[in-house]
Amino acid sequence: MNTDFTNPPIDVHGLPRIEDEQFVPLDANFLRSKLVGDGILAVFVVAGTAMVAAGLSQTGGPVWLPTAVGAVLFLLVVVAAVLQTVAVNHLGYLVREHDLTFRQGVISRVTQTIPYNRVQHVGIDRGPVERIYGLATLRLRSAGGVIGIEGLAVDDANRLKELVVARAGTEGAITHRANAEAGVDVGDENRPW
Amino acid sequence: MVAEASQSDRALLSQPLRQPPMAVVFLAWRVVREIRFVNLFIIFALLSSRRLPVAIFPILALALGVVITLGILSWWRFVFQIEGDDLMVSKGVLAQERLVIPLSRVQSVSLGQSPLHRLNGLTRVAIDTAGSSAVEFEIDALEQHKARALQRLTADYRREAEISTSLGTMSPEFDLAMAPPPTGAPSSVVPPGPGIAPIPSELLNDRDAVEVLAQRTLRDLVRIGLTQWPWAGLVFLVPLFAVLDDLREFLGVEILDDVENAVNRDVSVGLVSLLFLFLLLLVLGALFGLLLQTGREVLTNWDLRLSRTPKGLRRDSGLFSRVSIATSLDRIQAVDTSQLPMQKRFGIRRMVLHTVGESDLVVPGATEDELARIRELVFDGPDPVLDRRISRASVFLAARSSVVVAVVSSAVLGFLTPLGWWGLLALVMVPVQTFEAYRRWQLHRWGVTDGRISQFTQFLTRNTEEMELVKAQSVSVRQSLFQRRRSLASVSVKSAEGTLEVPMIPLDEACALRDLVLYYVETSPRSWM
Repeated sequence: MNTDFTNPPIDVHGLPRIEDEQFVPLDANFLRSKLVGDGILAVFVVAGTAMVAAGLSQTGGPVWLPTAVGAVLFLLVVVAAVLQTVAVNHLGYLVREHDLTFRQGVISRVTQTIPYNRVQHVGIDRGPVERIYGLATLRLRSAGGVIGIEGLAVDDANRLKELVVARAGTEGAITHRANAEAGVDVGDENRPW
Repeated sequence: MVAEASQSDRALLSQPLRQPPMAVVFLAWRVVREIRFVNLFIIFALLSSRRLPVAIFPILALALGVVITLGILSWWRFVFQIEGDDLMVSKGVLAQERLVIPLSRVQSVSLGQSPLHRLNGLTRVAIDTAGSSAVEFEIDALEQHKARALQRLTADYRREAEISTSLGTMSPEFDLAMAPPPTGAPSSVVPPGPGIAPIPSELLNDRDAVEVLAQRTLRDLVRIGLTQWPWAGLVFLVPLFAVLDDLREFLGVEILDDVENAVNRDVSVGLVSLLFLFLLLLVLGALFGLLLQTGREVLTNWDLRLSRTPKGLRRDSGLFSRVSIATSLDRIQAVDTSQLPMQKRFGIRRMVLHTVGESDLVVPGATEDELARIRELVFDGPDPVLDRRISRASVFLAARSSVVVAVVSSAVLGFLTPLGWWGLLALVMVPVQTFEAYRRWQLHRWGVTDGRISQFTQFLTRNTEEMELVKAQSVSVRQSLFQRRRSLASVSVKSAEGTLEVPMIPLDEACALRDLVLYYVETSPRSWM
């Protein structure tokens, strides 16, 4: 068995704390891109309502029904836009040496952390509106839990991705497993038995 | 590197293989299963009610033809072989799919047999790999000697991978992997008692069972079935309600009419007899439920045994379909137990070992001794110290929500239904739910011991949850508006299988717990699997 195995007590109060550091806000264009998306959705809602209403008025159907549904949908889009404007100030991420934290929520707040050495998959998504504003969504996937950070500048997202990918393969047991899988000989003289 | 004995296994599997032709039946069965039995039942009920035109029969015949053709095609297109260190599979009817699975990544090879499999000497094989939580792929039917060869071959690779990853760690799995199998191991296996059907030796493979950790006789199973909530068994009847009308027509029995008539003739039937009828139905339903779940327990867990093998744990069970699930100890992510009030009398509880992949190891009716031994194997540390509690605000929150719901529902019942003042009865739920929340708060305990987080909750059912911190995949701290006003928070620690959530603790404590979990995950050389 390993002779160098030690099990010293952990100073729980001395652990690095997340609250002490500063969360990074999202890109300034994020809110704009969201509002443009809402605007496009609103246009679709109005256009769809108008088309259905026009069709019904020709056949003598109840025009008020699609109008009411359209009005409610439009109102929902407006409310969503207002909420997004408020929520954007509470979004933030924090990149530390060993993990990435994402914070969100206005009324109820959630802070989610994924350590790099548990990351299974890193992806960058870019929707059409995001592309116009030069934004990207970074997704970190672990075997339990996903963090999706919307509204990053493309450069930031790529840099973060590089960082996470590099870190995911360089820590703890992952190294040994990766070596074993890649067929890299770690050298018998290093093994304690 | 790979042992000599496995050369013959390798030779057996290194040419392109198809499943035996008999597999067509199982493949067709799989297509049928994807349609879901409930839907088939509904179709059957519809047909028997003669509401559909005769034209349905050619359509049905066509559907049957499609099912059989799909079965044959997918049998023909499913080819697999071992090439070097990889398992190559090509499959798919319309779109050809090619899988390359490195043998070292295969986490488990589970074998199972239905009665039809057993008659033909075949085995179902499920192959599970790291990196996906679902079963990677299944071979519906394979000759037993080939299935065993595949199982042995992957086990050799897995053992090698384990040795090379446990460099510098001191985990129990490491000990198991390195320890030579004890000589005379078969004698330590308890022989099956009288009246227990013999298990096919190919499946059991007693040679590698080092220790039997738990075993269930018919008596145990009946006890487990009878100590569950009586209504648990009735869940299986729920799909029937969807087709109740058609069923009634089909059977020619008027199931509910008597009850409906009784309710309609409320002038002649007194309140007392209605209540009596209700109670009678309740008792009969409970008895029927107990019967159903006892039967199910006996069928699925017949001759259940959990045994320790040099590679981990294996669970075999089943009367008609024998299922064998094997897992390495690394793959166990969390251990939960639950004990119903009736089970407390017998000192038994249900234990679930959550493993990566589809197959959790469930051990019903575990005694304290069995529990202690299994925990010792999985965690290898001292018993958890449950020294922390949650905030009393949880009682207030539950009471408040209960008042809101009760007031709204009594108003709705009072004004919108003929119940009138009787609607106020909904308010009864307030003291009941408040009492429940109070008891839950009073008994709730959690703690972190030796790199493990444990939680105990109880209201009627006693539940324990336990997870090693290195198994954590992500940690979240949540605060609702209610919690923010009181500086409280909830922490959820997510593993690859299941989440452990500590609710309603002070924000400082929540953040400290989060930081501690991250510390363990980020500094430990141990892998989570």
